[in-house]
Amino acid sequence: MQTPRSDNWPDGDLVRRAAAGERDAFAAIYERYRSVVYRFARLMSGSDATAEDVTQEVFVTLMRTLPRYESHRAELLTYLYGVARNVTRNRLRRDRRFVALDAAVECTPSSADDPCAAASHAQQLAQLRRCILALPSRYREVVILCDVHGLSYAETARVLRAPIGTVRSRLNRGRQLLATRMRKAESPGHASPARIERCVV
Amino acid sequence: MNLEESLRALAADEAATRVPPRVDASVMAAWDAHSRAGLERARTGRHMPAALAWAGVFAVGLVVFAVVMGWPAPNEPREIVRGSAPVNPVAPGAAQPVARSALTGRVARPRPGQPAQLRSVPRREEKAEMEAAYVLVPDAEAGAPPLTLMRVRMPRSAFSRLGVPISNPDGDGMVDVDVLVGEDGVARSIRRAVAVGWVDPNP
Repeated sequence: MQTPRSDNWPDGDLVRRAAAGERDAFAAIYERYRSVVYRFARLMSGSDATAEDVTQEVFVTLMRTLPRYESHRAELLTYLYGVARNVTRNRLRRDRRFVALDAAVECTPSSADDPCAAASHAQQLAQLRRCILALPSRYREVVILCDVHGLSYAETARVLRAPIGTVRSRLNRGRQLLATRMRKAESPGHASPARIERCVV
Repeated sequence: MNLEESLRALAADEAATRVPPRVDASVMAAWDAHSRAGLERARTGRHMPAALAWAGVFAVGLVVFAVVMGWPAPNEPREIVRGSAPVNPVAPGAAQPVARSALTGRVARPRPGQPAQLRSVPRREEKAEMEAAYVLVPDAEAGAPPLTLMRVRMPRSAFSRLGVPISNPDGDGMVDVDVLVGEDGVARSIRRAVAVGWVDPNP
């Protein structure tokens, strides 16, 4: 009889085994959720370095709290989102006094055939990232969770520990603000850093 | 491109994002360090829970012992009753020293050879029963405590003057009475000693 790979085990089993000290189980949990945590922190903070730190901190917190984790109270993904949210918020609050030297998240090069269209697409995504980053954090986190990560209202409500109605209203308001900012950024009179950069080049 | 499409494109772009390998390495290194620390804790502190359990049992036993022995003092208020109140000549056979509370003037009869004792404050019914038998002395101001209780022998006719008929089974014309005297020496109220049972503070 063949033992199933740990990649296919449900979260509850992985958590139990990791709490018992199994390295492979923890590695499987990490592999399953690292991207989600990293991408959430990256969009929330707009910085690769902060996202790396947050990812490490989230999983270090998880390994410390594994024996106390109760799977019936929250799914592991929801729990990790909650920890990531708290760590990111604390980190942003702490780093508010610092001025970032590097602007922001690098854009992934597009594999489109048309280089001009690819450049335009990348520029639009960079613009969208900047606009999301400019949102107040209570709207930003809802937009990221619902519109970018594709969580349902209920899942988002569990992550934020807020009623579903609050999630809905925040998402609505966040989208409005985002649309307004995008329109403003695309208006001819608005000099975005990307436009300036293009002129200089 | 409208907002919805932009967000969808961003989601697709984000899905391609990879976590840098250095993060993977540092997280797994943190796991290894955590596991080593856990093993160390398990090795050094294996007997700690038993020791803590015994300490808890000892503490509970100590508390139970203290409660059984009456410490700390119960909530019921206590007061000190002195057995050195002034006592006038009393009838033979009824000569028990009368005690007075140092705090409230409440009276009690201590046992022989017991200079001081603890007594609970009497219940309201007891107090009413004691006070019901007293006859207020006319023209005497209502005195505030502390009052002194004195047991004396006085002629039966004195009771008659107060309007209280007293029988005299002994036939000698004298009766034992308890008199409550204020600090100014004026009697406030009076009762016949035999007519009212004492409330024994130490039944």
